[in-house]
Amino acid sequence: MTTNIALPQPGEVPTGRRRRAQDYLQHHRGARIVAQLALFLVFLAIYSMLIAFSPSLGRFMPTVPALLVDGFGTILVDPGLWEGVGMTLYATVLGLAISLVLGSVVGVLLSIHRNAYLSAQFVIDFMRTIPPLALIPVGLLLLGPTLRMEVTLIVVTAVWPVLLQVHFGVVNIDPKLLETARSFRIPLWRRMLFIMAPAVGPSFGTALRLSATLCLLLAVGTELIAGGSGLGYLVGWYQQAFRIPETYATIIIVGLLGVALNSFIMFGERRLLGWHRRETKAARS
Amino acid sequence: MTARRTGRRVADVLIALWLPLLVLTIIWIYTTSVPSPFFPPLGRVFAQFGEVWLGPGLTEHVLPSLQNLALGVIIGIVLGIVLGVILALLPVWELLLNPYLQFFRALPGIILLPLLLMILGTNDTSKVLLIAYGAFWPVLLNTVDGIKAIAPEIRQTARSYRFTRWNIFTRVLLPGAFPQISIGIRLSLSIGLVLMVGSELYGATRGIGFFVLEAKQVFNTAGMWSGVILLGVIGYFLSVGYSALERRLLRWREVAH
Repeated sequence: MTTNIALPQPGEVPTGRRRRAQDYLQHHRGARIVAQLALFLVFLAIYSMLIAFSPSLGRFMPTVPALLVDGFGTILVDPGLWEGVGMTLYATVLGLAISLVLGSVVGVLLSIHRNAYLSAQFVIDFMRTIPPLALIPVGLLLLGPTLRMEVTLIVVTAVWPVLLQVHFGVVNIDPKLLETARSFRIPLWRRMLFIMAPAVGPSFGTALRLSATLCLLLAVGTELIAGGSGLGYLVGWYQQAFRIPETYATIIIVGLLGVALNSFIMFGERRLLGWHRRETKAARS
Repeated sequence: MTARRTGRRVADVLIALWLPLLVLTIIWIYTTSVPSPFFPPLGRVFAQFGEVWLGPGLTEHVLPSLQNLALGVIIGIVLGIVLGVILALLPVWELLLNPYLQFFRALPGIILLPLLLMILGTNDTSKVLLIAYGAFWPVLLNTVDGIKAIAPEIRQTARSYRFTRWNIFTRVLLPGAFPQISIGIRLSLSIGLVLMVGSELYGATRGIGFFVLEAKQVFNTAGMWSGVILLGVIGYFLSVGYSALERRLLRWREVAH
């Protein structure tokens, strides 16, 4: 099927040009960043015009200079912000770490026997569908607006995706791999380290991504609703004080924190699981 | 033979049920025998459940909550699919918009609640918008990925058969990407439920979440736990219900394989 005859295709011309622009942007990092920044300026211009022409919106949305000067200018030099960033990040990472360990252990235990998972299935499914923020009143009642309450809520929520992904990762290991290892008399710890761990790796990566998003949502949500400290609390506080530029600036910082967390995890995943992606890609093509 | 099969089925049911029943019994006995203001007897929680949620609470709190959830999630899913398809067909724009999409996806939706309350006031519109916002991103990103994963030959074939744009959309792109879109919809349902509760805990006057918070404030712990149980039940049925719907919608794939 390699003998394609190149016929002139009038309809194809725009697609071709578009394809060329796409290839160019994909392969030239500098050009891509310049184009993205230009787009950012366009967004800012549209936003400024929106505010300028609609005073009712302007009451609740800061102008760009106000956002930069009153917003970022005020909060970036405020030690309270950095304390908040530290608190939110600490709760998120601590909750994530506990969830990962706990979820992995229980997930592996549940995969020992088919009946173990079947027995636990209903409890797991019910617990994991309780919307996590609903537990905030319960947490407030039992533990008060403390870091311990925040981390507990995060773990109660984020442990389920880890547990399920690890469990299915273990169950779906190719039995031939395990049998081969056993007939070569490879000791258990080496089997776990060199066969089970890499096989579960990809689904563990998925769990990590899902849980990290949940953890940040929970941390910020708890702080906003329950009060206490952290970035969520700061946003609520600025909004109630009607300090609009500061509110927006803090929200943007929350978003940037989320982006940083995601990119960090994606970077780690690429380093540790790059072999998996290459392998699946090779298998597909 | 049939006797053995029934025996197997009975055993399966027993295996699936013993742990939930055991947990329930332990909680029941523990809360009844050791009185604690935080953990009221389970019997009282269930009595409250019947009294509140099957009585006046149904129309006062449950229905408004569910209505916001349904509206928000539907708006989010429809917008996510439509814009996702458009974005997947315009790869240059997808490339340019990527950092901004990443930013908004990473921004936890709940943090926008104070802003929405300020701009729109404490009404259902701000709640629906928040839920729609949260439901939008997973659907959008999964739609883009799903459509990009469709083999280009399939689209070229459709084009050479002169399918109309609408037919390509409804008969090629949407079914081809649906397994992936479905993952996004599943995520958006649970995010929607989370945001529904969140929007009722912060500056609200009704809804299940509001009831739970208020019950906690007046130390009506039985009422509080009954609300939490109700939210779990809603979440469970949402998840089970969508699984059934998904299986129906994807039945054609089993035939094709």
